[in-house]
Amino acid sequence: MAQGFLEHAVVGVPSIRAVFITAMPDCLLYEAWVREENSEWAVEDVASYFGDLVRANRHGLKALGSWSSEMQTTIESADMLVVLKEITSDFVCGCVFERGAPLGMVRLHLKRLLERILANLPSVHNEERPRGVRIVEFLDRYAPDPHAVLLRVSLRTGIPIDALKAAESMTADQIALMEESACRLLGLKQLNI
Amino acid sequence: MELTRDIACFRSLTWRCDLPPGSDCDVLAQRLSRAGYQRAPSLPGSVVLRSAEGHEIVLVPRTLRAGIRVHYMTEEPARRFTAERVFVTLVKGVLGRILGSGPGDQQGVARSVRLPH
Amino acid sequence: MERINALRSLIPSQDLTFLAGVPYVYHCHHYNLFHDQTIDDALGEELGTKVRTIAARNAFRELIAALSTELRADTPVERLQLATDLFSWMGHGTLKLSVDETGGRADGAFLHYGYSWREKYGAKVKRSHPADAVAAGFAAAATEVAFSLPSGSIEATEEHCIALRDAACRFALRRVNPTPAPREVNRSVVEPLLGPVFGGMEEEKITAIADGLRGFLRGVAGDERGLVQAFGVFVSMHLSNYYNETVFEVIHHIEREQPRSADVAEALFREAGQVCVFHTFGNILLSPEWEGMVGSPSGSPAEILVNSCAIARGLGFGHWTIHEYAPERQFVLRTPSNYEAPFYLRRYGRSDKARCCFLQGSALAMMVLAHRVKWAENPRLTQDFYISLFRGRIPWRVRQPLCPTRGDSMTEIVVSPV
Repeated sequence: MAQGFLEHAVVGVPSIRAVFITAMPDCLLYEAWVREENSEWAVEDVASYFGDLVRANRHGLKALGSWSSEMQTTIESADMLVVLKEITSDFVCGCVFERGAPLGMVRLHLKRLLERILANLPSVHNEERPRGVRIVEFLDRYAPDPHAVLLRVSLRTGIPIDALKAAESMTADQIALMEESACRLLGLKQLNI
Repeated sequence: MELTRDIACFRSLTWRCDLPPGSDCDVLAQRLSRAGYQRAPSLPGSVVLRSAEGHEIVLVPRTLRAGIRVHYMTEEPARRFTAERVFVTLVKGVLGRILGSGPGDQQGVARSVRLPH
Repeated sequence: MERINALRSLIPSQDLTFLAGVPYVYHCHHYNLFHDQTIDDALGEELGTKVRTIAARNAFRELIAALSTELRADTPVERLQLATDLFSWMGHGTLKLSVDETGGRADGAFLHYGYSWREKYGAKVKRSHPADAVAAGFAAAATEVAFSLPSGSIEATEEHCIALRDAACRFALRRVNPTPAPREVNRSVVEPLLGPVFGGMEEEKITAIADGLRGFLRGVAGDERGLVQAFGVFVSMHLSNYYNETVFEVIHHIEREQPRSADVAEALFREAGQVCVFHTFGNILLSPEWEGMVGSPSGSPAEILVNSCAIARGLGFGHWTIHEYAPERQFVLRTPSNYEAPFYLRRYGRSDKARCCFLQGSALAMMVLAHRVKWAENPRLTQDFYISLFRGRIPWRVRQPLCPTRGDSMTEIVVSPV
């Protein structure tokens, strides 16, 4: 597997053992870097499990009423420290550090590492994606009966279904209507996206 | 006999297992009645037995499939354990080891029940 | 409750079922919740709740009044007792009525809608409006009949609901100005509206299975909480007049106020039919009881269509027949009867459109289940599996060339490749 940009991204992070980028929602390996001595790791499997774990955590937090799009999971085992972060709606990044690395240093390295990784990922930053698209994705992720959710929004708002399927082209009024509808469907005061 | 999850829309409510070849469902139903499982309405071709707590055992004589249905009021964390308890009762019934089984039942066991390896 | 049970009747050749002459069917909680949700999506929660409550009041008033007459429940206390027993027997939960001719209060426990909504959706979303419009309508109807009040003179509102995370469900009932009762839809007016009877493929087999299922359902009733858990779902014995009045009021409203959304509303009502077939039919097909009576599904698509028609007949949906079937290519379902069209004709008269959305969605779902589910591998009918089957491009489309609302003698649904 080509190491690509990750090989450069991990420069200056001595405690890092591996980085996995998982493409969501299919939990497929997008890119990985592992230290030489860990080359036997099954990178596809690890990336897939990390994606599943983030998704499961997301559902667990939902059940607790936590709706923030910011989420980071830290796993401490006897011999390693794993940090998983949903860096965009399309990618999860899993970083494996030496167990002995101080947490403060890990956080510092992680921040820089994620900035470098984000700069190399194919999709744009969340903030730059059209709000209409992000609302549709949010509904797809969190609404019950996601297969019918656009029909429901269309019926509630009067926005044609074709317009909802091309959410990047929606007008500001349509987006406002859709957002209000999404809040009602999900029982939320506002959408944290 | 092995207990496995079956399809169900509520988590962990429906389970299944297969009875040993040669099992006699009528005899089994009688034994289970001594454990408090009474007959309930069913479609032709199956026997439904219900406990006082509302848990059900469904026996299909033709295929020897057995279904276990945990009552919906059972708290979710307890459903698996409850299913296992019902399963144990079912296994005891298969083995003729439910209290109140007469000597005739014990003799019947060796001929009619063969447990899988 | 045997007295009530004895008042069931059947038009056997049409597979339509009645209780004291009022049409009833069986639906699972998945369908019930999706149906009600669609009403609210179309009308908004406030108007949606009102329409659903009124429809339930109208439907159950007819039933409670008929039962009171048949069973000679002449005094208010007898009628109220009959009503509360009926509610639980039908699998709608437990309702305690503390009412007089000015209104009062009702307390609900394990109500079918609120309870099953909380089970299915409670961990995923927060709800902002109560779920038990059917129970509210029922309470209003029971009060009106008990005290011989004019139709529409009791208004019921659910003030607390477990779906809103309240401890229990509670309703307030008050006296209001009466509104005229809608035209009754019962056996005596439905029967003349039905088409001539005919059969289809595998007719004998379907009839035998449907009879077996119907016989079983005669013994099914609400448990000590008034709920019916069967085949892995919560089942309700429900009044088709409720479903029909809500659906058609919504569709007419949308056609008047928001005509561009009429297709969307109909698509969602078809979706509800898909939900019913997947959850109810699917769970029945995979149940040990079905294995005992018919055998576990072999994986043959034709067998799934045959069994589905039998299940539909057993649940009181009408005399569904397989008129034509070419594997992967075409499925034509015909029926001289269904529970949608006669209601429409009776209440609204003829239409220039086909009106059987539930039947359309059901037929499409039958084709998907027949060809896209590996039945012999004991599939798990989870929500994720439903989404994987029905999301994205389904290779078939459904249309309804024939409908009694347009003057045709039968209903015909055609499922064919896109």
